[in-house]
Amino acid sequence: MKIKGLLLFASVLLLVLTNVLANEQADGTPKPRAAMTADHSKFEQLDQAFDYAPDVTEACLECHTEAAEQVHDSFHWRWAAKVDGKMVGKGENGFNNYCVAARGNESCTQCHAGYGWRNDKFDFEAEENVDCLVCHDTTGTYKKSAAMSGHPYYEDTLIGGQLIPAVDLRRVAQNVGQPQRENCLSCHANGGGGNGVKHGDTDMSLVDPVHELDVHMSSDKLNFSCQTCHKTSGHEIAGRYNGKVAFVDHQLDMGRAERDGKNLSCESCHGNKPHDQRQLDNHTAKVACASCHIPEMARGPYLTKLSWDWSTAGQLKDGKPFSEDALFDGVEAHRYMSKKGTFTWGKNVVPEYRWYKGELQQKTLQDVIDPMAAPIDINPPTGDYRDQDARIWPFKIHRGKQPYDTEFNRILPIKLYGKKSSGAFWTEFDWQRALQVGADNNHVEFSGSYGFIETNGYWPIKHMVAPGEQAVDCIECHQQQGRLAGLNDFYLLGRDSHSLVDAFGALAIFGGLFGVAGHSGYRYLSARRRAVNNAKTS
Amino acid sequence: MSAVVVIFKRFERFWHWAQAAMVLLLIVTGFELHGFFRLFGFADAVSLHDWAGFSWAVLLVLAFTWIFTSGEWRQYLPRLEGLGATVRFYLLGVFKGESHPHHMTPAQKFNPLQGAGYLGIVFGLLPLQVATGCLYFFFPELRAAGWLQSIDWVAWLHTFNAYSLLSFLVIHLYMITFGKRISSHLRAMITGKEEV
Repeated sequence: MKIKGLLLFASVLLLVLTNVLANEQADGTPKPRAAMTADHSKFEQLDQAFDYAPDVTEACLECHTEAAEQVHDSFHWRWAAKVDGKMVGKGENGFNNYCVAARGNESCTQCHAGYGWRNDKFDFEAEENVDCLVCHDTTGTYKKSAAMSGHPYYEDTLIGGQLIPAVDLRRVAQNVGQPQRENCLSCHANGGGGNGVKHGDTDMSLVDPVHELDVHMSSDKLNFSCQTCHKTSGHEIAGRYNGKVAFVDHQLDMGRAERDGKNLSCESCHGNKPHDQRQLDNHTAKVACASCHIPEMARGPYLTKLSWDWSTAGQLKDGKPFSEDALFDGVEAHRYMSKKGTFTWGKNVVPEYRWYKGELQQKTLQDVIDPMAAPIDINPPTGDYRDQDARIWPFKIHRGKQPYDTEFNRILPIKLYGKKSSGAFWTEFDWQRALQVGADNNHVEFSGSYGFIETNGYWPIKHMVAPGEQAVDCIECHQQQGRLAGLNDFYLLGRDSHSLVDAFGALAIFGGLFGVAGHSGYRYLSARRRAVNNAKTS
Repeated sequence: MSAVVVIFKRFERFWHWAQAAMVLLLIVTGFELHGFFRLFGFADAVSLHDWAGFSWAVLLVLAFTWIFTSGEWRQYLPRLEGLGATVRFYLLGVFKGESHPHHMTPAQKFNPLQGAGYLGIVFGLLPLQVATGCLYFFFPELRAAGWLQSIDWVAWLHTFNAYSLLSFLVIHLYMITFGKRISSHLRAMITGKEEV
């Protein structure tokens, strides 16, 4: 009886304990809840054998009724914004010194958050054209095809010797969630033709960076997602677009809710006196956090492209395009490609420094350039020492040499991607044709004569923040040939001096020494002569 | 006939040697900050320069208080009498073995040339250096308040004045040797006593 009772007691105790433990993790903290309130695998609308991605979008919109309209308003959709009365962006009028212009090159729209932006007939108002999955896929199996202008691979496809399996849209749709780093980086790390090409501070290493590479995103400590800083609200995402500043530095310590979708800067979390040390904190009025705390760009394993010379593109071997590789900072990469020209690459590159207030000026394909003023600044930052909103920021300045119209003095877009007889440079290697079709696609005039001109593309560096102990040392800027050697609109201690003041100093000090030497020397000689004379007379 | 009198009072000697130490540190760190060499490292050089500068400013406040309350300010009154003779001594007499025309007393420890020099240094160069140093140090606050937009002329003035003081130091060190014996003046600045 006693034993029976004990057993009963023990089993009750065990039951209670397991129940408690079921709701607690090993360390006693409550079990985390699912991030979302909906399990998409339970939705009937998504339990279908989709064979066309826009059908998935329509299914999403049955519940998320406002989502497409929100996306339509976003820069992810428009790829352009009205600045000073004119549409500017990679979708319209804007250009860079990588592939110059996206418009007319349907492979570029592979990264558009939509389906089928092939040409000017694309319907920007169609809700089913929104690609929900590229951002919300959590399976890692959803890939957008260049050949199909952003549609996923509906069939097994060989790309560069690699088999990309047909997408299982049911599985992807049933597993949607908050965007992961992989979703954002699939486009933002691979722009310009490959991993790390464009930004210098954004490449695939940010999927899982070590603490050394990125103190915020490393899973060792903070494990930030992209959205921790790039706060979102109704598909509006904090960050810099054309016509929208990245941050407003003088609006410090804004509550996070207030900057949702609007403002992001280091200061909005760290404040502008983060060091507990007056001398360092005083820098924040004029120096961006990134200038010291991102000592180099491309600090991960991957290279970033530093220059791109289109003028050498088009050389063929036995009538065929070729490419040559070389080692750059110990990593192999293309040095030359018939399709694209000559490149240089680098990693752990010391950035260049410019005044910047969160916005870049974008030159357009309509702007007349002055060939004598080359290199042409495509998207220079603005501001100077006296501008309260401007800080010294690190930049990757991508050096390009790209085609321009030598008669109209305008940058020329290139038709790059397309079938034979489309005029595409990558299939025909005929500059004249590629520039003519490129100009037509972008609604600009081409005189027929072209040359190549040097250009600078500006990329503000703000990701890959290093641990504090790796911050740039004072002396790297406070010296004559230091990091700030080119930024000369203010007096910088250790770097600057007044030549007349220093000349006076040399004269005063060495003149004094010289005078003392002469005076004391003659004093010594005359004293000795007197001593000798005295000895003689006595 | 010679007598031993106290020329340099205890505070004055403290002022002199504390100032010497600080000025030396300020010169070394100042040169480093100006980019002439690397010794302490930039950040430490800045801190040392700031600390030495502020300590010196405090010391100068004490010194001026002493000068004005003790009546020592009379030592700095400019006077023409004997000036020509002093100049003549340094240019000619010293080479002929003549003795110094000025006779040091506690009430008149400077010769007329020396008095004019210290008038400029103590009441001109030193306060100017401390003032420009303070402007430099508080520049971020002054800029935020809209009172000072750029630091360049402050930096030039501070550097110019530093060179002036350093060139004075060269002459000053040489002048020590003009006592009764080579070491007399140095000894006087330590013990306060000078043979007159």
